[in-house]
Amino acid sequence: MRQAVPRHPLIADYLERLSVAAEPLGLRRACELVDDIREHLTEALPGPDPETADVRRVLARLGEPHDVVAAAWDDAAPGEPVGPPTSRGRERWRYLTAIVLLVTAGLVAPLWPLAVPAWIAGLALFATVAGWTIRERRIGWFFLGLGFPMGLLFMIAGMMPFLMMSQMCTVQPDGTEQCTGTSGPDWAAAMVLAAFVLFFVGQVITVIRLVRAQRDPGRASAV
Amino acid sequence: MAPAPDELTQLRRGVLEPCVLALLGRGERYGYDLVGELSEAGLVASEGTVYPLLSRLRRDELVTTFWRESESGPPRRYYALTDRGRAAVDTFRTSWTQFAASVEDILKVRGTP
Repeated sequence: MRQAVPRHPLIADYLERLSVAAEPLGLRRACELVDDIREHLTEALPGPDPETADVRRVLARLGEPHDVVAAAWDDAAPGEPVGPPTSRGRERWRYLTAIVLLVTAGLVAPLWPLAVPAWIAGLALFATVAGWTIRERRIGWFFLGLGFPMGLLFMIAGMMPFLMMSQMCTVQPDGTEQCTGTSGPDWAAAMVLAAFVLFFVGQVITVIRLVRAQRDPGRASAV
Repeated sequence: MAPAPDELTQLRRGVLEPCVLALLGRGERYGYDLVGELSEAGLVASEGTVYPLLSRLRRDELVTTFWRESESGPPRRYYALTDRGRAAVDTFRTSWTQFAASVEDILKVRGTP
């Protein structure tokens, strides 16, 4: 039975980390464990808005999520798996490939026959990677998943006439300069360039964050 | 000299399951209540680790669970001992008495009564 847990960012963070760590236990056991802990929190912290000090005390007594999940592995019944999947090598290959494919698809977006398959394969792999929190996954979807469409967008924006310097100026016999054609406003070009740089920086930070999350020993049971 | 943390963890691990069953033998309890009693008795370091044990005891049919309305909040999941669980506690109690006597005897300092 789903309990309404008290609202607090520390509780939300704890439950999210617990859910991620419990994933390898299988859906049924993971849900059962998270529901038990939710019920415990509801009993330990009555009221919708508990004090931060009380939340910290209750969470400290509960123990770290990976310790709770480790206890679940210790308590596996005969016939049940007794440890997290040992396919860490395969998982590492999966998340690294997903990241490489999505970043590459964005960088080579103009070569769309190459970029589209890389993008689709990257998205499919990214969706199957375990060990990221919901927040990390959302950031990943945004900065890596949108890499290819954004790459196309930047390419099209770069080719738009109003951004191109299509002005031709000639010096007249009387010494005056006469220009024909249009000149794109500097601010528009600057904005596109700034957006491109910002998105690229966002991608780099996202890659670092996602890789670090996978290498976090505290999530060892989740990958 | 107090036992080293590792020794204590091993001791706790060995007795936690029968202690949970013995507590439930005294009467049905809901999870938070049970965890609180075990924690007060110094039998668990991390309260959250009791829930996987309860889950396994349920799968092994040593305990059974049911939901009961609470006056102070949402319904609570109660745990109760099954006949199989009761038999397991009885077996442990006999073994423990003999085991504890043997350990006591070995630990006894020479010359003390």
